[in-house]
Amino acid sequence: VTRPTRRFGALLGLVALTSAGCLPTPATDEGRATADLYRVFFAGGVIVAGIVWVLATVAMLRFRRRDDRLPDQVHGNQRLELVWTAVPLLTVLVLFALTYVTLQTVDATSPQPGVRIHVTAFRWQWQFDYTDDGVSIVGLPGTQPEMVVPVGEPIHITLDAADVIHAFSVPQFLFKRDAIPGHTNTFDFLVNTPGTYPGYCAEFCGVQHAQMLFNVRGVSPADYDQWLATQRAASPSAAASP
Amino acid sequence: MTAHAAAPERTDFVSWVSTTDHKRIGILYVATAMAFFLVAGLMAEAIRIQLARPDQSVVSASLYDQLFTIHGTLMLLFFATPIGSGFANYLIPLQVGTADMAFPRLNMLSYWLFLFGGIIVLLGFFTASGAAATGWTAYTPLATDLYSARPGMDLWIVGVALVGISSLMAAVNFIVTIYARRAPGMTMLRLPLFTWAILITSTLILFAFPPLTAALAMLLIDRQFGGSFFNAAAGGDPILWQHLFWFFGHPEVYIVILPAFGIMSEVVPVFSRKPLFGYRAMVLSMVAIAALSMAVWAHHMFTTGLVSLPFFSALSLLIAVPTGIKIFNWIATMWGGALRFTVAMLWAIGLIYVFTIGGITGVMVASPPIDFQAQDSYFVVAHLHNVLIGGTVFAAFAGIYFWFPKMTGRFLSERLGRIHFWAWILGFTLTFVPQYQLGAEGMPRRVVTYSASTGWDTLNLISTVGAVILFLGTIPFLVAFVLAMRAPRTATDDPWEANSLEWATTSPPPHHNFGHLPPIRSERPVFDARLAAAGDTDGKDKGTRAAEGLAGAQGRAAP
Repeated sequence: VTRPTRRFGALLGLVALTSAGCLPTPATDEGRATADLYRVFFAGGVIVAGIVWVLATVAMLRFRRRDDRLPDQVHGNQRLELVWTAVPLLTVLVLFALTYVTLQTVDATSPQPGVRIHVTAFRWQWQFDYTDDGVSIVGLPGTQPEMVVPVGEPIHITLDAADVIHAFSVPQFLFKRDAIPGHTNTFDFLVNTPGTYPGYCAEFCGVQHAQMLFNVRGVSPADYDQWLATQRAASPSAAASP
Repeated sequence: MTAHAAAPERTDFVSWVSTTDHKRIGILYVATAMAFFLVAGLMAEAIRIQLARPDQSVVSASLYDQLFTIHGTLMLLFFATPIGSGFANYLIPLQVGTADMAFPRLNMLSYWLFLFGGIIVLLGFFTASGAAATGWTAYTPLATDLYSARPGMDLWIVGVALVGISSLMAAVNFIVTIYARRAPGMTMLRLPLFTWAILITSTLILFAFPPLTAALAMLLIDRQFGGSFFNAAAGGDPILWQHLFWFFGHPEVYIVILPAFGIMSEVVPVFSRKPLFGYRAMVLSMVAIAALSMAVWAHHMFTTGLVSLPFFSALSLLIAVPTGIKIFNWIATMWGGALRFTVAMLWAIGLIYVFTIGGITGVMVASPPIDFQAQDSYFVVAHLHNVLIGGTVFAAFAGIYFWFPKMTGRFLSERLGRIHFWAWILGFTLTFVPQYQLGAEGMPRRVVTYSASTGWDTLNLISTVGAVILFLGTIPFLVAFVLAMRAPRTATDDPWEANSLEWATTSPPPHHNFGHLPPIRSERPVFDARLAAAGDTDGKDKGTRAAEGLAGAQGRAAP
């Protein structure tokens, strides 16, 4: 193999590496915490990959076999090995500490949530019950039901499944949680930017798994109150939003 | 070249299907695992073609679900696990210096259970309702009779149970062979690293596979005999399946990667002309990986909300430390060496580059907040292919190019091998790097299609182009195989100037393996013998570990 070929390969890999793995802009406070953590992990990963790739590349370029001489038969070096045991150990300890701190934000639940919504996943749709407000959104086959929430208020979700395991996933919240029959999961999020955020079922649940889509729409509190009123007026058991 | 000493062996069909010779069983294992690899690879091509453009229906959703289920099942359980057993079958008796496995007939039974297990899983495609379609993880309650009434699911359970039992039998056989059948002088700390890897892997199998067998039996009882282990409505728990499955499934990840690490630790020193850097650290790091791998299963279950996130996160992060030791020790082995870039070595070096990225993304998903985004998305798909292809598959190819002369007496074409390697590097990068980005953007795995409005079409198309390159890149390998099998046997006993005992006998070895053994006074008996022979002519120190004292000496290798 020629050197230019190898260099080209390394370059290609490096370009691909650095252009991959960008998260979407987070739309929740929890998502922002996760994105911050992700940036640290990603930067650390680039550094580690850089060290390994540079060392391996230098070894390849410098130590090609040129004659029949037997190289130094080095069996090891305890000091060096201690270094590449201790440094990674310290690195993962730091990463764990940051993970632990971020978890406190991501997993936190508010004592006074603005809205409580019970989400039921079923094959192959979603039902959103606004438990305090008597509004129900039931997804009909072929539709994409919409969960409307006010921005700037903690939303408390209780989540379960009617049949098999599903998962409630909103990529721009950088979050997902499994919906499990016989067990109710809970989590909070606070949408900080108005907008419509696509959601998916992330746990394979059968033949129409790919069609289990929904949206979360963050609106101002005033618009939210108006939306609630419209829903109540329309029907006590409102059908799917368009 | 040493002449073939033994009487001519029978080579007819009956002699192969009735063989208890570890070398033939090893070759059958490797060949069968590669056949399943090719079949499962074709399924992956169908999956990628379906996903090439948004809103396509090249294959139906129902068939698509079967394809990714059986793709994963075959790749994990009928390729990645048994390819390690295949190399181990061929090499362990040779590397420890004995004539065969401790239990040759048990060994034969392991192979046949593996083969028929795979066939039984595939038979699902020939039933009216199709093969299992739950994903290779078979999560309950989706996999129970309520939602997967099809016989294909039962065939899957039976086939997977058979390969599980096969792996257990093989593991017992390897452990006994390694402990009890070592040649005089072959102490534990002189074992080749590949043998160490198989010893540790086999021990892991003893712990990991019985829970899988139990889980499969429970699922079968739920499906066929009115049980309700996994039915929440009847007091069961669907999450119990995930605990049992991943209690097997995470050690399984290391069951398929430790033999790959073992192959690395054979190939890299040989083509660096240096001993493995830090032999003891390499053994200990594998032990550490195996021990930690028993306590990280629930990192597959972070999003269930039902497991201790800090505990499983911390232990998962810790595995990066012994894995990092291995990567750095391989580079240190190359450092200061005399590198020969044979195709086997290219795959080994490729593993260092590619597997490292998989290790890093593994650290990322070990952090629960990041995993909340990555779980069940294409990020995880990219990560697992990054470690399984960049680890197990690359090492399997390294092993095949390395030991093919020993197994057959013939060489695979280095020229075709280079095309194979570079096509795979390119194909791998194009297939899986875009998947990391797709996953970061939230594309769920196991979806049959996606809407154009998601903006995922370009990255998916690149990924499919990469998959096609992987397919095309495999053809030179198959051509090299056919050409080699038609070529005369030209391989000498020790064509690579290698270290371990399999290179001290003919290529291929006679039925009983060894006429005589060289003295075993280090972890590199064949290197020692070669150096001693050269030392005779050069008048250098003939001590068996003379190499250590001969810094930069002119020890010419005996051809």
